[in-house]
Amino acid sequence: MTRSIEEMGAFIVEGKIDLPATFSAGAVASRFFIEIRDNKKIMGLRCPQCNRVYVPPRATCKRCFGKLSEWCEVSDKGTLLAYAISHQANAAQPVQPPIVYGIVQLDGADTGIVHMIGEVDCERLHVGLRLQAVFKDKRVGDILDIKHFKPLR
Amino acid sequence: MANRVAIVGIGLTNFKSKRADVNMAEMVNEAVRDALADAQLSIKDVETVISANLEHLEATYLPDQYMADESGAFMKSGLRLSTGGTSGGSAVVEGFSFVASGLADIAMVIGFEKQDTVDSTGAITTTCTPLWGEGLSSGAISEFAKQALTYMQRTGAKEEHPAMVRLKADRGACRNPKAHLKLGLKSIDEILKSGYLVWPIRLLDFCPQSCGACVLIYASEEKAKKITNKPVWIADLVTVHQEPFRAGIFDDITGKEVLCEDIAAEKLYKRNGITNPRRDICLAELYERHNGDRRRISGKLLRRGNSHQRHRGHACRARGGGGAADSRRRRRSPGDPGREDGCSHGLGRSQLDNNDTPEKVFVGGKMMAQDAKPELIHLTYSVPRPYRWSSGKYMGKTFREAKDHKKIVTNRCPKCRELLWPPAGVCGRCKVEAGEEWVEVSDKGTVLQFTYLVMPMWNPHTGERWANPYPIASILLDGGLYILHFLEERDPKKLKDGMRVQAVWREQTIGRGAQGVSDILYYRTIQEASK
Repeated sequence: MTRSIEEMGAFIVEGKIDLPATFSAGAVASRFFIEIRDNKKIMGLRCPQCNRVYVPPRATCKRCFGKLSEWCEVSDKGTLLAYAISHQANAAQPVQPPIVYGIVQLDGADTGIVHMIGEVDCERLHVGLRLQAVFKDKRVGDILDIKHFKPLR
Repeated sequence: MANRVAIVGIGLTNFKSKRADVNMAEMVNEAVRDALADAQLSIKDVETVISANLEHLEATYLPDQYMADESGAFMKSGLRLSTGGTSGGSAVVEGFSFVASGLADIAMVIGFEKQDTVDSTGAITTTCTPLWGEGLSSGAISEFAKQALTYMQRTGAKEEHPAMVRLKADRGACRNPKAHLKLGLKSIDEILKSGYLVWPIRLLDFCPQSCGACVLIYASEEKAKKITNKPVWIADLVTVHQEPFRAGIFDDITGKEVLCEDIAAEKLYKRNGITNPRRDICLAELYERHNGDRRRISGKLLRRGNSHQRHRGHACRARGGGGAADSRRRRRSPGDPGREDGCSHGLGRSQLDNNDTPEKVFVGGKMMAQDAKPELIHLTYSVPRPYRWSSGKYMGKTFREAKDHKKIVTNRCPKCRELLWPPAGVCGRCKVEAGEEWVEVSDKGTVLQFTYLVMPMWNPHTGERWANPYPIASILLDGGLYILHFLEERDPKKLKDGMRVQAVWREQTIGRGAQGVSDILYYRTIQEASK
């Protein structure tokens, strides 16, 4: 598909590049996704040296560079640390706007997890809001097995 | 003058075709830990972290950011480099620059590639502008086939010669515990029996797609002496840039260009008092993706000296660093073969390179790895990226003439009088404004060189298999313009250098210019009384 921009003498060539990719989650993230998929459990990794629990889990502690292997289950309830509301539709977004994106610190975790906040009246949103994970009925092993976090009533 | 810089630690992962057990960050972390252990340093000692890869090949973006924890870059300075196949080599230079300038006393550079993510060969076909090269850049292999052909034409080298180099490289790989391919080849016949990927490049001439990472730790003179009693000093570095694709040809078939490696070698040798490379350099790691080129470069730089070359077979962005890493490892390990002749100078090289085998070819569909236990999760995705490329006014003029009048026109440099191709606002050689002296060139010409695909390829622009079913040729058009285009004749037996050809234009032109997928479909063999 080509268009000419007459006044400039330039041509515009339109097309697309499509490279299918297979991204390895790795053993650590695999366990995280599988526990959510099979058991609706949210798992983290603890750094024994820094006494920090990483959720989502990662194999290396960013503070002490220690190798992490101590798994622990954290709560599916947590606290909203920050949020933003997207009103603009975008092909990359998993649901239709408005979308509330939030960072949620689950009880028992020392880090926040980014996800969507649902079933919420935007007027009621505030930092510190208590939330609970809503799992999908049909889970496939990716981050959207958690449908969203909803306010705890 | 720059501060002295030493390499004090190296780390490598094993190189494998698939690493489902780790994600990219975790793979990098393995090499980082290996390097820190080698240097006996803690991550706290490292001030700067520089990483290099070609993210396009992994359909990911800004990997340095999401792997900051695992790479050790968290809360440190540094940057990421993505200079195509030279990313690893660029990182080696950049790490040196940080320490040589005094910006850091200890710097770490990381080269990595996880080539089980995307079909790298397919991805590399898109690393040229679709305006001018779609279909012609059929992965790295055909480009290197052209280089090999040029070398063969120039020197009379035969296919046996790269096979000899391959045999030697395999012996090295078999002694390298981290190497990907360890074939244990016994004779060059085994290599010559392997099928062609792109004529004249054979399967065993080429390196595989690998997952792996390489890490180097640099230290200033003062620190290096504290860290190790065997620092490897970096004597000198040089980079020379060349953009051969612009000319539509991939090597010096015009006889007018000086090769970048010649310029680089000359500078290095002069600056370092090396008068007889064969005598003065006892170890060369030449990171070439196929053996024809490896032989070419080693011949150039060393005049077939007593160099030790190994074919590691690993991820291309890890590769430039790998050269430097191997130089270091062999120079300081007393028991290592690299020491046997009292090595005092090592040489590393990185170039536009790639590791391709057709082991994983898929077309626009989904590929899901199957793993038994423990279960490992893969995310399979495809995010088509639409583009709108502007030709600009110079290329636009060529597009316009091709579309409206089926004519090939280009502009001429007012200084060197060379025809520019593609037409451009600046002459790269003379660095002067090229202006608008337009010249029409005949659409008849002579084939200087050709190659053809044997392995299946696909085009990520269209998702179609066989991105270019037609042989690709370098053609000298009457009027003195060197171009790259397809040939209509698909029978290899009927292809020969020097054959006369003429452009076959599309009946309905589409405004895509005159090279690659364009308003010229291909060039047809013509018979002429005399020429």
